Amino acid sequence: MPAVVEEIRAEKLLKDLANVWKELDQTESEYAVVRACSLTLLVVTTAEGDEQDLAGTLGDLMHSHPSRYVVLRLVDRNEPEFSARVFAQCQLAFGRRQQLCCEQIEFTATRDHIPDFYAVTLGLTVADLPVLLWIRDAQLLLDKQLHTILPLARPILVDSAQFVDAARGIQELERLRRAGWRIKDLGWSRITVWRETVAQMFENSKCHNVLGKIDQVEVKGRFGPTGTDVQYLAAWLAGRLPDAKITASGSGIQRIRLVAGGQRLEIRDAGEALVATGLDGMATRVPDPARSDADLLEEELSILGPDPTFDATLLAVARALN
Amino acid sequence: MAQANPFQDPLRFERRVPSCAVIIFGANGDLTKRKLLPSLYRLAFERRLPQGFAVVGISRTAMSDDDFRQKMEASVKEFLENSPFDQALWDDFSRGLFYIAGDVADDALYQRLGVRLEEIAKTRQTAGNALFYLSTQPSHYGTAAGGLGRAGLAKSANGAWRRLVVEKPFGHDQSSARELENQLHEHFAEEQLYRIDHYLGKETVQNILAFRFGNPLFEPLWNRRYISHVQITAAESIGVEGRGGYYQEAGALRDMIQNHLLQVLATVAMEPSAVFEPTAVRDERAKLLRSIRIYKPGEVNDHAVAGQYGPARVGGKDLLGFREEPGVDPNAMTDTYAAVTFQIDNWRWSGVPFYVRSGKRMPKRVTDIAIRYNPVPHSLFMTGGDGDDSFDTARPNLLILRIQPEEGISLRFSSKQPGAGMKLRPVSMDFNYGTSFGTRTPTAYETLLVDAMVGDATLYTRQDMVEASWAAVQPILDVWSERKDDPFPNYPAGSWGPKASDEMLARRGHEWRVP
Repeated sequence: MPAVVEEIRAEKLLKDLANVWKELDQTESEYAVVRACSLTLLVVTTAEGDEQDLAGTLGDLMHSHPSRYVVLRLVDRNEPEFSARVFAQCQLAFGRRQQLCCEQIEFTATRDHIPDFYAVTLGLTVADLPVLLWIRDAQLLLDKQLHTILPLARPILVDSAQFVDAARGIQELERLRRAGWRIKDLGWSRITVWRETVAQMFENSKCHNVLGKIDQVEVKGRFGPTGTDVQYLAAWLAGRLPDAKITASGSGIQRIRLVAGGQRLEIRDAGEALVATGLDGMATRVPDPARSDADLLEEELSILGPDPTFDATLLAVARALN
Repeated sequence: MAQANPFQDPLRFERRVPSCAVIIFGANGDLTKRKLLPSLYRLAFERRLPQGFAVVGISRTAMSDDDFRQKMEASVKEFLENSPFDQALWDDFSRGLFYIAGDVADDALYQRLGVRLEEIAKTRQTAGNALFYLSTQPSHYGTAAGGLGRAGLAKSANGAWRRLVVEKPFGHDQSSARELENQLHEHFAEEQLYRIDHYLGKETVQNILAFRFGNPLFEPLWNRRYISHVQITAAESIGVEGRGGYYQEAGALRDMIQNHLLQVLATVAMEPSAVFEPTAVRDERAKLLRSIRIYKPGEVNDHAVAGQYGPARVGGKDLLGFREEPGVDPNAMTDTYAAVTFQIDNWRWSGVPFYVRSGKRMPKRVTDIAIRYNPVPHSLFMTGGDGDDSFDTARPNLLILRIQPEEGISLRFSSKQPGAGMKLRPVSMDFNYGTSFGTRTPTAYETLLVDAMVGDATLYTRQDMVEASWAAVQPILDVWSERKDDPFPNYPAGSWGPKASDEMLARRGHEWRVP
């Protein structure tokens, strides 16, 4: 006999949320409570035991993008399960005497309840504000069952570095992009510092003068097979240097080398910084501290509209992998 | 025209600073230590500075490049705001720091500077671009500009640019402002001059433009038909803090209103420009400043009030009066408080008073703009049934643009009190900048330094704006300087200013709001 699953309704959850705020309001604290919301962020995760990690990421994110967080935690159980709880997460705003609080609704569900999650969540998104779907475990994107919930949001966030089969993952992202979804990839924001350093190098007039002479480009990763980071960077460079021969290998970018008629420009990873070496051998250190998921998400959430540079790069990588 | 950089991605990358050298006159001064170097270092940290970047410090103190680097390292560590210090980055950044000792009045200094800049252009690849920053005493501005000009350093050559940043005050009065302009223009064209008013670099002041011209909701109501009056307040709780000698020559009207607050007023009241480009935006600001009514001497006392704080005991602490402050003349006639009713003679604002006040030793530090709308033409809810009609009156809408602290925007409107009857109560809708954008915002100097290096003068003051703002305050300064009586001190430290200031508004049926 199937287990009985209690009915979950959006109205009931919203009422519970209202009670959470009422309680927070009545809690005696020296710090005022500020309810803040600038978007609805839907998060789908499968990782068991990542509650603390995810809470930390959302907590960090709420400073710049206070949101209503709706989290779907997919679990493997013998019996069907579909439950929900509501709570608020509060943090003291930096240098202020206010607690910034965001509301969170967390579902725990077995896969057969994905359609129920979709139906309930339709009533939970905040009116008139953007809705984003972050598929925290990118592999899920290749799971047809999950496609039921994709219509909840147009922008879909993933981290392509998580794809076990990068080629398949990239093809799927490109397919969704062509179908009208706005793809946002933390793997792309992770290489912003490399792209920005390249751009910065060519602000220098001497480097700029050899732009048309660049005939070789090498993007080299540290580890094994070619990863999406190296592929993205190589495709982006190829889009700007159509006459250059581009070689790309490995993952975990270690170095970019551009050769212009025998002269060499190089950017290499030096731990917490990149070191860019120009034509005259002058090296400049560019800070590159490790970036958290919240930091990468923040970059992606700052561009809610189309991102033509990324779209073109995704298309180029998907074509190359085809 | 140079080919664009194909690697740029303006959606994600911040604006790029081209290769250049920043030459700071007054490199041993407070501004360099507290603001300029920390801002430049922070820009390096944000990856916004180019590979070919250099700073040349100039002051009279004898120092080697290394001494200067060490001194600046200590300053950056001390004054860097909300930002980590990365030693490896500093080591790299500081290799681009150089120092020249010399007297700004000595032509030989500029010869040495020219030679040094040529060397730096080769070793640091600055492409000959140079931003000269006058952080010296204002009396040296003309001398430094002249020295640069005579040494041929003001001229752009081979596609390189030369720009000159000047800190306020731009003159002590209208005639000295013109004299300074003549000195600067002798060697620098107007488009090379960047007159810095750090108020315009504040994110929240820039947000006034975003609020007004990015939201169609408010702009139709932004005129004499709907607005009763505007109040601009810049209050400081501190006194002169060791700057008594300087301040007694300046005063609140010169130090705050003539520059910062008139620029804020212009930002609040200007017409939208056709495009968001430096010339277009500055044209509109200048046009507004030129529309400010110039008072005749006989009108000044009705429209302007000077104040000076006297001693008081505040919060259990005895505070000195201005005349007792160190370095201040015991008979000083300086205005530590000034309030002016400005009238803007144009179609949009005719008849709407702009009350502007600034003072030291006020109850708290606050800068804000309050836009008070007209009351409803016919109130349905005026009668107070229980005899207390203070909450029943439909109070006029009030829009507050908070510049500092707690930057944000509030809109006050009336709401029905819960329960029987129709009692109204004012309530507030608040937008808090820090809550919606929790990330670090750049300091005004970071913003303005980048603007000057990329050649964007939108947030800088232009000569005609300086002249127009001096024209607006000069009659007041003239009347005040000829005062025979001694009304000071006329407000106790820790209060909201002299009674005469309240009376100035009361004559028009208005009152200062308490920020």
